[in-house]
Amino acid sequence: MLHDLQKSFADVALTNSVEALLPHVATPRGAIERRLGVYHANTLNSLIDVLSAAYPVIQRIVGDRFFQALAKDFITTHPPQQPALFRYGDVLPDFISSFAPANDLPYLPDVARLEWTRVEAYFAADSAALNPERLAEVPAEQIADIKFSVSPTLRLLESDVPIFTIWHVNQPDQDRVPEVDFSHPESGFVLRPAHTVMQRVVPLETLIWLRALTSGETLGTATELALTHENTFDLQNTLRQHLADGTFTEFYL
Amino acid sequence: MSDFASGTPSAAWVEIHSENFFAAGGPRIAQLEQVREHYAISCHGVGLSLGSAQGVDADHLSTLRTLVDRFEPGLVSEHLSFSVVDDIYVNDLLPLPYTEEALVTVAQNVDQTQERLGQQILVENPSSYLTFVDSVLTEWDFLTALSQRTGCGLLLDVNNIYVSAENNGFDTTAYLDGIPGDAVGEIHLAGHSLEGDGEDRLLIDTHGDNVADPVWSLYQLALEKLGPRPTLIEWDTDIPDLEVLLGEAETAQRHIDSVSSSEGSSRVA
Repeated sequence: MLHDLQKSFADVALTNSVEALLPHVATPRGAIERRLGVYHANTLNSLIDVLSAAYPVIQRIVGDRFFQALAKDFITTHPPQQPALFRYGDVLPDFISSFAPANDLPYLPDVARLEWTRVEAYFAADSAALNPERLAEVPAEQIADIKFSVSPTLRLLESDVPIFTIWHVNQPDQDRVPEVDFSHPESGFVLRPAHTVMQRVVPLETLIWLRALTSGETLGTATELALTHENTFDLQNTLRQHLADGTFTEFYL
Repeated sequence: MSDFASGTPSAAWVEIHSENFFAAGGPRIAQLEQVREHYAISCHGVGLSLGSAQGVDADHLSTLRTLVDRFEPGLVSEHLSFSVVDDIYVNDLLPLPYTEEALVTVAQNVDQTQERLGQQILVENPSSYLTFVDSVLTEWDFLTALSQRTGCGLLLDVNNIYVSAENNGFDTTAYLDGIPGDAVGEIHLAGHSLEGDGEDRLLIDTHGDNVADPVWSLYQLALEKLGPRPTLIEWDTDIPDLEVLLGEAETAQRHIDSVSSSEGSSRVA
């Protein structure tokens, strides 16, 4: 049956297990195993390249050889389930959490989450930023009732470790790795206002405010939640900054 | 691709890998919009898996239809191969046994694809490193029957013919004589690499080098049999300077010009 043959061939491509396929294939010369190996190498190497492009910081932190071993394990246990490969690798951060050789680097999964978030933002739907002048028309007594639609590219991140700092010091243009305090938590967001993905560290109260607005709370409720966490939360400046960034696409009353 | 977004290089059309543009938005699609202002687009898929026993994926076809509606490609093509089994996607173009069962499967999948897209597709011959003991048809007879049953066109990859013939021991002239010339809507050329010697000699389809001399000769022979055809140079890995690519395109154009009648219209991309 064609299906069984294809299943056997997929096993060759993904894991180089050739036994089931061997009786069905032939070559005019040389060893058939070597020829099957070409399909395995093509599949594995092309998928390692996909993961390497999505996770350059992880690769830089752990080194090429470690990354290849990690990627190989991931590919054989979590092969792609659809052919648009820019979506492949979304569960690598969780996989890293369970990958024993990476246990010495407990910050790695969260840094990987930041990298995947940037990939998601890069490929997310386009949207136009809300024109701040339109908010000026809202009567003062109704400001607290405003609800926002946020950009489809916005992603919020909160971590017990300094993921944004770790990401920054592992960029290709950084050749000296400075001291990083790994016990310092960081929260922030990723956004793609036009064609370039940006990220920024924000205080936890700002993240709480953004999280509330993203889940549909009013500006009044979101601000109260932020103030409860930190009573110096500055609504005016934070709102102005996010209107300038393009975080919001529309508002409702 | 940024060179092509500005419209500077001379090329008849630009061929994309369809699945690279399946995202909801972002810079890639924006850049393709710019390319579209200067060049015709051809959508060349690598993930539809026309040979899958489980059939082609309806969501995949819907996304492809959206892409086709948006960019109105002159040609839509896919491969005679499979890459999806039990909803696992193997990122390679795996070969099919040339049996009646496989022919029925591929024909159904091609029918469904052409129906969903509302247009003819071209199906490309793969490069392969082995044959199946169950095969009862040659690759050219399989492609001929597929084209007859579905009305699909053929995308003739001359490098793939050469690579497969060298690896599996068949006659390239018999291949060119065997395919229905009228069905061929496009030709691909690419580079390959040679690994091993003697018994271990194997040609690998890399798309990462200049087109080899014997492939140019086979291309000339194909053009003499088929007449001029739109031709694309594929170069996906170790991509060289644009001048090198355009040099290969000029060589292909010289071959086309050598067989063109006064109104030869085929171009190289």
